[in-house]
Amino acid sequence: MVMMSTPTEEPLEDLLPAYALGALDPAERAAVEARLAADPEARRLLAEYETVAAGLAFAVPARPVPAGLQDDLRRRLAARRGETAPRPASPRRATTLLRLISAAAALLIVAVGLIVALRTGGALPPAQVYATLEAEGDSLRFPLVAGEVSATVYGELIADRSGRRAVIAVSALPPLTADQIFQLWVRRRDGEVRSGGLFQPAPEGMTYVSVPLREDESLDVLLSVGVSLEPAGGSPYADRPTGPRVFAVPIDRDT
Amino acid sequence: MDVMDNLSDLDLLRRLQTGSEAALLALHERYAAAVYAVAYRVLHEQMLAEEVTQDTFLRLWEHGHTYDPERGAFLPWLLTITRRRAIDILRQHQRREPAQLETFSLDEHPYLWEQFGQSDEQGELRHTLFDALAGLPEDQREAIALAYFYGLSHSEIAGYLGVPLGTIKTRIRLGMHKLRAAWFGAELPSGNPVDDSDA
Repeated sequence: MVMMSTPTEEPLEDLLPAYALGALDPAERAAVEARLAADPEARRLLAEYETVAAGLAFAVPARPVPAGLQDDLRRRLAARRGETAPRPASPRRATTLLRLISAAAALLIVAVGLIVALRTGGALPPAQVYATLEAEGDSLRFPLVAGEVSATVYGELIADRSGRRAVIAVSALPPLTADQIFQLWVRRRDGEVRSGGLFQPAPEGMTYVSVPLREDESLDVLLSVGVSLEPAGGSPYADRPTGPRVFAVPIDRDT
Repeated sequence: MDVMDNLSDLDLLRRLQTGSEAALLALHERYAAAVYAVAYRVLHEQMLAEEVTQDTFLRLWEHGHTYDPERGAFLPWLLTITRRRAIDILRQHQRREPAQLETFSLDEHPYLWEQFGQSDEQGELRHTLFDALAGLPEDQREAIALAYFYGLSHSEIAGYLGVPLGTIKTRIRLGMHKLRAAWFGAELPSGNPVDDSDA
């Protein structure tokens, strides 16, 4: 029975290997599935090919696991339970320090920033937006997860309740050589990835980076924000980094 | 040592299905490297591969009950979910056609099967499969890899390689048949073409 032809006139048996690999065009796939429903021998043969296909995954080169993945999974699970996301393990002390520094600086920065803004009429620098959000008290906070470049990087993304203004405050960024630059990446839930610009670390203290949201965007449409270490001038691709991850900030607002 | 470390995959899955986050985290500890390696192999981009890794385990958290142990071992099932999810992401990014062709990288070490595929009861079979894969003609391995890692269809592979559609179908059919024969000990049918000139 397995040798009966599909509507494409090809023996069903000949199409099963490609079906198991997912290599059939939609019309072929639909034809095969129609035949499979009535052919237990073909289903048995397909199961064998699917076992082989699953085994091919083991022919992939092994890679080291990026740091922080399990902490990130714990936080995502907590977010799904509706709990406040736990902070990353070692950066707890660091985050507390971050907040102390931020709180101490907030009043001064807000005061100076508002004066500057009133005088210039322009957008506030990221440090001042951060301080403003910090002072608002009901802001959203998302801890960053260190990448492979440095395990000591710590900080957070802070945003207003609407998710329309967001700033990253990060400390302990690794020093750059003359031919390196940090590049911010924004990943939307619809799959789009775009560059958020290049930046260098502040000469001392915290580095503040604005998250470039479009007019019609809020954090709700973002899956994560991340920073990679790139050659001077940034990634040659507009939609993907080429260098290692410095840190990432998963956005779990609505999960 | 955590008590979870001594549990089998199946025991962990049973606990996971009762809502044990500890069981999910134990499976993550055990297999995140394998999942990440497969995701990275498809996407060639660290951040996306990490997202696919975490998404795979969150899907396991929500849909772990769909795993049927009678249909095969747990890890190949998990890696199949990973590969399909990674290909979905690849399609979303409209990077379906590889900028630079990469087939199975048989000159790289170590392989995932050396790390994860040798200790269970199917380890020897995977070793046999790997040997069979290494023994395939390069054009058959290439066609299988383009379907497997890039989600390309017959016709897309033919277009990408600039060879007739029938040639690609034959390469995939012959290659997969040899791999199946290696795994299951099936005999190659007599009269099966040994080259791909029937396009």
